Amino acid sequence: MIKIVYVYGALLSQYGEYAALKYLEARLSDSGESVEIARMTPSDNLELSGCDLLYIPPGTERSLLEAAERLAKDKSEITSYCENGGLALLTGNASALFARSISHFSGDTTDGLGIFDMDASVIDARRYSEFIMTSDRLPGETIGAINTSIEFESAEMPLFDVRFDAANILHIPFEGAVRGNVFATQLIGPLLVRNPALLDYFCAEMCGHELPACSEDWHRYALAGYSSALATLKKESGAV
Amino acid sequence: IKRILIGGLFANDVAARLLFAGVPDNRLIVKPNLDELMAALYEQAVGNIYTLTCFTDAPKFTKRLKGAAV
Repeated sequence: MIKIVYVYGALLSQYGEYAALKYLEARLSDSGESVEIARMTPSDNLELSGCDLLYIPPGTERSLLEAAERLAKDKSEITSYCENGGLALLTGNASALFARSISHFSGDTTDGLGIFDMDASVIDARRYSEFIMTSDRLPGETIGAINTSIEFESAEMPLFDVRFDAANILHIPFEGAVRGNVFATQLIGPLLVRNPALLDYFCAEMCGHELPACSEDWHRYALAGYSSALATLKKESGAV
Repeated sequence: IKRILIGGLFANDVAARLLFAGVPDNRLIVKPNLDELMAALYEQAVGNIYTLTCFTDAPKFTKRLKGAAV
């Protein structure tokens, strides 16, 4: 039985990122794996024993601050899980939840969980860009978008090397953070929907083995969507 | 609605999502190229045609309509 703990899916619901959970469930189930999804609400106490993936989806900047306050009660449970090699994925603004602090341009500051050696700031401006990124820890080229008002000051190991930043919003060639098996990126897409190789990577990490090839129609469309979007971004970047 | 034609850069992504929503694959016609999409539309559509577009992309569709004064 594969257990995915999905944190605050209703509160942190942005740009259809919940679809990544649908894809995880389908990819695992289609491969013959039994899947349990534990959907955590802010009033729940997180219980991570037996968890194979802790997945925290992105939310708006406003909902993120509420999520940070609600998750404070679970800090020791999440910290212990991460320090003991637990697999975790945070996408979009959720990355800020694992920072030491989240400061808001209004002057307020909220404590993060402090899993990562970084601080987050909500600025009074929005940035959007499409990306191609690569990582030593992940397969292939990853595509996605960043649409956020959050910036990071980080001493953490970056997750990605930025290969193409269409609107040149990052100004640095790195993005995200990774420590052990905890992966955080500001990319959205939904990330696991638009990147079938990443979907397979996280499924394999959960199962402890590679999944068999998927012959489902949705996966065929997902692969075609990835290929066409990557080709378009590469053309835009001048790489082809 | 007998057929759903899907066009544009994210045509395949939309097709995958419609499958998850329970729409049978044999009702989908996926044409990322908009000219090919319009050709399929004029060749296969019968009766009323309902259109959903991203607001910024609507002109890409409307300017390809026959007789469009764009």
